Amino acid sequence: MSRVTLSGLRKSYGAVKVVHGIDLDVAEGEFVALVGPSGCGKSTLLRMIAGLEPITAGEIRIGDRVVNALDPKKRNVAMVFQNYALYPHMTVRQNISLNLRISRVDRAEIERRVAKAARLLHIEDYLDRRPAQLSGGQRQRVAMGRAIVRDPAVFLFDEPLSNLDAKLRVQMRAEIKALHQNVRTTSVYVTHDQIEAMTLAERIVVLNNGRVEQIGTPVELYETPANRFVAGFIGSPPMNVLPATVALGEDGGLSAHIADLGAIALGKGYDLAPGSAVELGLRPEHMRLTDDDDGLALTVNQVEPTGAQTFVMLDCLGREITAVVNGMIHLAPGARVRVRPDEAHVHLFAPADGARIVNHR
Amino acid sequence: MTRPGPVRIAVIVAIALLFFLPLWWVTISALRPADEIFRYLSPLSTWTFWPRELTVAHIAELWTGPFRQAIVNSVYVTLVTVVVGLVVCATAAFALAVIDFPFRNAVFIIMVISFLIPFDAIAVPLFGIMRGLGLQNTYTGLILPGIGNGLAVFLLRQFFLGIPRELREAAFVDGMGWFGVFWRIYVPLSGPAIVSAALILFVFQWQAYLWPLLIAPAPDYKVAAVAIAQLSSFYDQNFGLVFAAALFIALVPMAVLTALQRFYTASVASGGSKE
Repeated sequence: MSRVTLSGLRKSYGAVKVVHGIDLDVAEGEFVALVGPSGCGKSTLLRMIAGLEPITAGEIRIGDRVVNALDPKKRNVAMVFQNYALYPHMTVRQNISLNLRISRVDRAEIERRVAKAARLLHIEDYLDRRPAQLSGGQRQRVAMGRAIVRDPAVFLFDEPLSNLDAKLRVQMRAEIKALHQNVRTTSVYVTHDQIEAMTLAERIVVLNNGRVEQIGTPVELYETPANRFVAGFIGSPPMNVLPATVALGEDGGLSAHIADLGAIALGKGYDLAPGSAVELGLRPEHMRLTDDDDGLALTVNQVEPTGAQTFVMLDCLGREITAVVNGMIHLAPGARVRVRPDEAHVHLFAPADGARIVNHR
Repeated sequence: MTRPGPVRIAVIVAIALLFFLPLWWVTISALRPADEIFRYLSPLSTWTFWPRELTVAHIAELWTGPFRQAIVNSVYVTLVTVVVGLVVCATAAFALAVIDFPFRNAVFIIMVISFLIPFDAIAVPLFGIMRGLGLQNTYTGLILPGIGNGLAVFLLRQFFLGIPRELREAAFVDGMGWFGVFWRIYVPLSGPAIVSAALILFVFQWQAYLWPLLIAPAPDYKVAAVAIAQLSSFYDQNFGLVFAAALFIALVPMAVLTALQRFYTASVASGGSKE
């Protein structure tokens, strides 16, 4: 396993720039997820690391080597593709061992490594089958087997679970995590599913329009999103963002007024002038329904029970916001409720550029 | 499925007979004594299509006379054309489908246009070039124009386009180069298309007449299609031998096509589809 370092990495297709100077350092043995919406450049970035996409500018290092000009086969990386990319005319055993055979590894050693990978991934019984005879989950395991059997410097995963059904995805997610804990190979994992990124990765890189919005641990991204985009992308359901005006409270602390619906205490530590406009970020799980009169009075648009939690969609100044309530709750659309946001978990963003307004306390 | 009605069956049988009878007539003419061949043509009778006497004299003569060399030449030239042609056409199709190089589409369009031009139209200037290269009356001269077949390249390219890009990317990551991807991934996955391309090359070369007539008129290099035309002359007409030879040159592609038709239809059905 090796460290992966990207410096000033750029990619353009003609005049269209898709990756705008990315710097990233993936430590040896680390599991990093690249997340972002479709077209943000995350798969392009992964393909550039693999050597499947030439880079326009910048530098890629794997270990101590600059690999910019190296073919994929010389980079010692293994990749798991979204559609598995198993060779349909070969058996599972041949699929897994192909790289070793190309590298002219000793036959007994190939057998040993294939058996080890098969045992690790529970695919011993399918080794002589063709990919067409396997289920989606089994194919995914074979694709991972093909990657781990080589003992590469880096694993690259390109949305490997997106073709699986929801239940299998959860199961395979756990297996990938267990696999990484077992082999500790440096891994870069592309996904558009932030839950996948949060559960698997030690660090997450949030990308948008070919730029890094934030790099951090899942907890950092969740608790202190660098901007409105990250705040909206990380967390499910996404963070509610409402326009507010800062005012000075009677106790000398600041508060954010959401039109005439009510105010939320911000406390001290914000470098904001009374009267300035802000965007108030409130996570759905940090809003609770209350019987008190001092909560925000809102109208229920819709209710989505999920079993353990109920998502309550509310109308707030013409925008739809969500509150997550534990357990089942029965509310009819059109009902009036009062909602009290948790003041300890308020996020503020600058309306102009969406950047986080830092609390210096 | 409902059973076809009697009228429909009659029409089907009539059409089948229309195709079958000429071949049947050639077959029995090859097996009849020479003086019986045209004897029952008018008026038509049972004996027109059923031999009164059978003889293998014409077939035996085919294998003992000079025609034998022509058959050997045809088989050799066709086999080499198919093998070398497949290598040339498949690698060209692979490059046109997979490798990104300047003017790739222009090259492809020129190639497609090349198979729309009748070979007869370029035969004479091509003959000039080949003669200039000293390839007259050589196997190379006979084989060379048959190995680059635009239709075979087109068919293979369309098939290769249908193979997912991720497979070759996985192969690159697995340690293969371009040739490894072609040989280990694309060729094994393209069985039906390769069989179809082989059939195209085979039929083109097996039935070639004008080109072998121009480039290799010497008896040692004469192919079956040319030899058959020269079996009868104004003064000497051995129709029994002509029919025996015609039967042979028709039976070989029929046998090959029948054996490989399921691959051919599979390829034609999938050749136009893309990922």
